[in-house]
Amino acid sequence: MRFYQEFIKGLWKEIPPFKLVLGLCPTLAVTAAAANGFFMGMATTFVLVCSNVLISMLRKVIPSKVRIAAYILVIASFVVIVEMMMKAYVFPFYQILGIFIPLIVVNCIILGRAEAFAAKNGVLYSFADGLGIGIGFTIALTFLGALRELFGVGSIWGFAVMPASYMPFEFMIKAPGAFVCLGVILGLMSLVGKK
Amino acid sequence: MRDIIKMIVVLSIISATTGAALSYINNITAKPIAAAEFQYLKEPALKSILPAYDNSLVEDKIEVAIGEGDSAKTITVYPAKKDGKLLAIALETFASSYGGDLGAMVGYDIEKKRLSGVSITTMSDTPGLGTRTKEPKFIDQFKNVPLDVTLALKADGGGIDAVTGASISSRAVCKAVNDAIGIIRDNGDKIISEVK
Repeated sequence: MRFYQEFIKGLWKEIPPFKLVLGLCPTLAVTAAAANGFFMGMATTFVLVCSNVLISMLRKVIPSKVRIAAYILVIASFVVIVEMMMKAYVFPFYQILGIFIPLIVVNCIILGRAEAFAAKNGVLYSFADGLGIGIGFTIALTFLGALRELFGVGSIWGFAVMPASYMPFEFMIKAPGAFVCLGVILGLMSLVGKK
Repeated sequence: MRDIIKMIVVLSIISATTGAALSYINNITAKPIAAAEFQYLKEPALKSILPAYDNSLVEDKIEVAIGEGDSAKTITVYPAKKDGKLLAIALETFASSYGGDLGAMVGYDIEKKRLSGVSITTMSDTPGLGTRTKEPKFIDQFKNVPLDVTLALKADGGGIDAVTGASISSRAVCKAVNDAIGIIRDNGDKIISEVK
């Protein structure tokens, strides 16, 4: 039961970046298209789950004075693994996401979950927490990407959905479009949450 | 004191373990990464500058030692063959440009004794300015250039039209192509004999 709760909270109650307003750098930078957001989310989820599990396993061994250094070592290693895997097997997406893959190391969602959750809870719950938050992040990025791609290019996931007469609203796939989209979603979500 | 020793031991063990894991993964992925980089970065460049070929450029590529003394180095040459006959060779040269190193893949048609084309492989210049050197209007000027000329921009007394607002990038492309021409001129026979 608790396993389920730890998992499900990442999908709405604490969904990053909408509820926990963390990890905004990749959120704003890579969501020009749905597929980009999805792959960024998947890469982050992998790192988050692995680092949560490992840090939870090591939580009694790591001295608290050097815990951040230890967490960063663990996180950075998983990020490099993801980077090498993406380079080897999905190179086109590596080209698109480029610098944002190594930057997952400093994504505060991951260090945040390590410090706030994995360091205090068991392996199983940390796994659920990482998976939930990671999938929440993936959904959020994919949704934001889909929205921006729909209005900015007229397609979703590369497939044209708008009629051919639709004039692409190019503002949406530029950086300011990301801010506006994110702001509107944040506003709508707190409106829904108030009821 | 015990605290300090514990910290040192724990951090060292974590570092050593993650280091070992990374080198293991690196070993596994090195080959697929090289193949992917070739497929997505080099192969499109090679296809666009070489005449139609039917051999595998990855399998047939050779390393050729050129130059003497201090300027000695090894270059990678891609031979394009059709029905076993060598049609053209391609090699990559670099020149420093506005945003860092610029790589140019230069193709040379052996029968015509002229360049078959040039393609930019890596560059980190300003998008919209320096990157416009990739456009046919600029890069096609290097097609069919014979080996006895030294290329230069019109502003420098040569015959190449620079991309407006990107003279540094344009000049870097000229320099990389000139280097390639020099290598082919001085070592062409050696390269061709080694390909076979």
